[in-house]
Amino acid sequence: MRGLAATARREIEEHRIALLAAFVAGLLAAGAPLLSFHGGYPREVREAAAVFVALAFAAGLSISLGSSVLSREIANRRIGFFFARPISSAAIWGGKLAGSAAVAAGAAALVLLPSFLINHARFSREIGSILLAGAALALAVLLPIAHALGIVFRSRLPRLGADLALFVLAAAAIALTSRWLIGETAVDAWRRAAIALACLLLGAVVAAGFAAVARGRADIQEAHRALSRLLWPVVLGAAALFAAYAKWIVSVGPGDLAWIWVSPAPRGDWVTVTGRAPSRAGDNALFLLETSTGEFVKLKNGYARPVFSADGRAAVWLETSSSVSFLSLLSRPEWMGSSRPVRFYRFALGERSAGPSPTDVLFSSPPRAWAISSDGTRLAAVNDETGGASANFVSVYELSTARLLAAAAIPPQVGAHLLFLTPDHLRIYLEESLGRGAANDVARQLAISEMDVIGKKLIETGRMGPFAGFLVLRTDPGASRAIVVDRRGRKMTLHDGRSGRQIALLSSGERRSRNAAFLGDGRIVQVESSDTGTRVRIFSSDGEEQRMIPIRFGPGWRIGLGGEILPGLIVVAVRSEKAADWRDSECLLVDTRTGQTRSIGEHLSPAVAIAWWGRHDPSWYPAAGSEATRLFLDARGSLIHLDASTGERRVILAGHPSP
Amino acid sequence: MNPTNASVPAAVESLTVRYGRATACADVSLSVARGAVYALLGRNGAGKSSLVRCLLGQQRPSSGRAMLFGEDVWKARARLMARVGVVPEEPDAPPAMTARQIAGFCRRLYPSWDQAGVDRRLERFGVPPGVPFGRLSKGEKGEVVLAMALGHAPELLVLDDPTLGLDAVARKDLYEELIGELADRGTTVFLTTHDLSGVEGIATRAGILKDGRLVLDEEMETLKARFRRIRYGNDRSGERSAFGTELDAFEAVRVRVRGWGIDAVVSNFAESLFEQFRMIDGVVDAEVSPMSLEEIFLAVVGEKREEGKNT
Repeated sequence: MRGLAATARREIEEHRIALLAAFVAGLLAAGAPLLSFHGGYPREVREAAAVFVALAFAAGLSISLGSSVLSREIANRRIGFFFARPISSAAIWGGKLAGSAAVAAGAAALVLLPSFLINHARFSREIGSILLAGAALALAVLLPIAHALGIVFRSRLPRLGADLALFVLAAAAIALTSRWLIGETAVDAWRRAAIALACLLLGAVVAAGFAAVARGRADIQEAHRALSRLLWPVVLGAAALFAAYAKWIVSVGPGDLAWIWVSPAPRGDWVTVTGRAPSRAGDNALFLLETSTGEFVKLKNGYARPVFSADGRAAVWLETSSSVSFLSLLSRPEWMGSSRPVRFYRFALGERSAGPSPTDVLFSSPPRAWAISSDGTRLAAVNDETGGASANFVSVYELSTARLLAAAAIPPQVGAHLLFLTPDHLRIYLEESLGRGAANDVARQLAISEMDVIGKKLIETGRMGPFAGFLVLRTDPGASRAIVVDRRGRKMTLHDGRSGRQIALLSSGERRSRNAAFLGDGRIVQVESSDTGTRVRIFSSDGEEQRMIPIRFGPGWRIGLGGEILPGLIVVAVRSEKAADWRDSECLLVDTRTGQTRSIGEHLSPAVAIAWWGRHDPSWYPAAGSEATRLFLDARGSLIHLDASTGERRVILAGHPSP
Repeated sequence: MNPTNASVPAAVESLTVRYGRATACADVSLSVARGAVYALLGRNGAGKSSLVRCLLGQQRPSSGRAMLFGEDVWKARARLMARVGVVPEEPDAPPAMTARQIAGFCRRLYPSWDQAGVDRRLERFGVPPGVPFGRLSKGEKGEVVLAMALGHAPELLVLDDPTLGLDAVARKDLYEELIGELADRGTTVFLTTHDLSGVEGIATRAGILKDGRLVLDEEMETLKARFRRIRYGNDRSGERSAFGTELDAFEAVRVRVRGWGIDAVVSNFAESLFEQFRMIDGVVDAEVSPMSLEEIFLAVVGEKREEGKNT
């Protein structure tokens, strides 16, 4: 310690002129408000000027002292003065760098001092944070890197060429691996790995700098050799480790997921599975999974989950199409902003070997809403190519050629729902704002339009509303009728799907949960829970109540709507409000014709009940008897196929406990 | 002498130093006994400074070991330096430090620091204590470094060509200081130098490096006793059967043919041999003279062209 302290003190004394210069610069910064061209408050201008100059001093001194104090003395053998004393190599290295760091930090402090005193000993929290982060970066990062570079460049060894080549190799490997991970949207994993990698590399630079002094001593060329011998194996090893980690992350399978979310195709055996993979660093992963075979395709977990065509033969989804700034990802993991270009991808589920293929349909930012035709050949999207807050165009594309078939301007809206009536006919429901309503919610109405793709015409056909706030919209497959759940208005109404005319009030009043769907025979099934209990209500196609089936009596229950497992037989999930989530439900089979109910299992949740959330397609509801209606998630998060008639279960994906 | 013996202040063992393909020191072994003044001589580039850096633990040998007080100096440099004073070839103190500041720095590192002694030496040398080291003359820098090297009463003093660039007065000061140190404390000294006449009076042992190899390592007394210059006339009119065989009894290091006769340097001089030599037929006016260290050095390492030419 004696040697370290003496060396550090000596370093500070030698560079005390920098401290004097910093104090003079601090006085000048404190006088910044006297300059006539500034536009801010004097206090803020002074503060900003002082911090800017302080950081410039910290960074500049870190670089200049880091690159000279040891390397120059080794190169001209003046370091022998210290090595000829009873001072360990570590104390020489540590004392020199600590002294340099103290000079840089002290200079920054002296720059700040006049402004700090004039500002009554106060700086804003933001400025303080910037200052601390900048100073820490300068001292912890710039100083050791400058020291290492000083050794390398002063040795003038031909090895410098090899160093540059290895640097380029390692940087390229790390950049490509980062790009790979980010491209796979494993952003959390990348961020954690990037931080660990940065710490490891910084540690390697620090250790290599020490090795250069400890093993090179008074020989600059040997110092360079010692530095390279330690640095490059660590750097290249870390790059290889990073690549192996990325490979491990990217090779995640559906079986690794915990707490999965499932969205089945309305027909066929394919489902979308997503969830976090705690055994693979916890990033979200997204798959298309064929439940009958267990085969899967991994997708980039981008903006929107895949949408299946109504015939269940195609899936379409969005992926980002450009690289991102690594630094922006470090500071803003919520990188999926609205300004990133996106591309649509398509996967013909019947032609698995071809795999997912990118289409040429691109947008400068993710569309607000989009839908595909029942055969999966056409895409309709509501978007604003200028990237504004509201989306003001609706356009229809042919996915195979990216040909724009039709487009039209639409009024500003707060939400949109699209569905193809036929491949040439598009129905559009636009949620228009009516201003602030009760409880500061935005009151809204639904404007209904239809686009004739061949005639390239957009015609408004009707309106629904007003509604008090956020809407849930359900239509039958042909969109001839629509159900609107107005949660804020506490009512559920049936409308004509084209004109918007209200046909019937299906439900009103306070409900804890409320949902509805159109059955295969055109009837309407509604589930709701209130203080008096949970029930299933059956309505005719024109909204006349036919049957009310009580499920639980009394308060404290919630009910979810599953699929139509056989014509007229629906699945509902009932859970206590105290239960952790829907997977802790009891599933019941309800005969909508007789009103009979039968339990088919506990600690289960129908996949259909979960898949409602976050959908833009109002007509989505699996066909009666389809595979989707037989898929359930159990309390462990396993995806299972349940035969309701026999009770036989087949595990498709084994669950993992929730992290 | 066993180099791992703690009583041996300095030793190198099979020491080799390479810089790429160039070899600075090749398999050098030597040791410096306690109280000795060892002068390592050699031409520029002979490997002296590389050997000194190895001996001070500032450079790792390519092979072999450098030992101080029986310990590998590369491994235990910091501890061993507490017992060693160093005067480098180029005075290397930080240029901004004054002699007073350098002394203050050293005082924190050596428990046995003799500040009064340092002050006395600086005063004796006439070095201004408040002037930055970088602004001192070459001689003054050397004197400051010497004062600092002696400030903690080292057991071993290592000087790498300390008189390089010094004027006669500064050289005299330096040697007087060294002699005083030797007289007072019997400090062991290892020095390299080109100032052969200066060191001749104080060195007790000398080694000569030639092209990285230690070609001579001997006590000064025996060295000077066995090296002699022999001059003689060569009478060719006699019945001599062969020319130039009269020096066969000696190990002739160098032989020159002059107009007046032969000028030879021999390295195994003995009175008895010389008496026999004088009796050889054809050898006339033979006389022998002792040699200075410089003459011996020149004979051993210099004037390569003469070697073997006339012997």
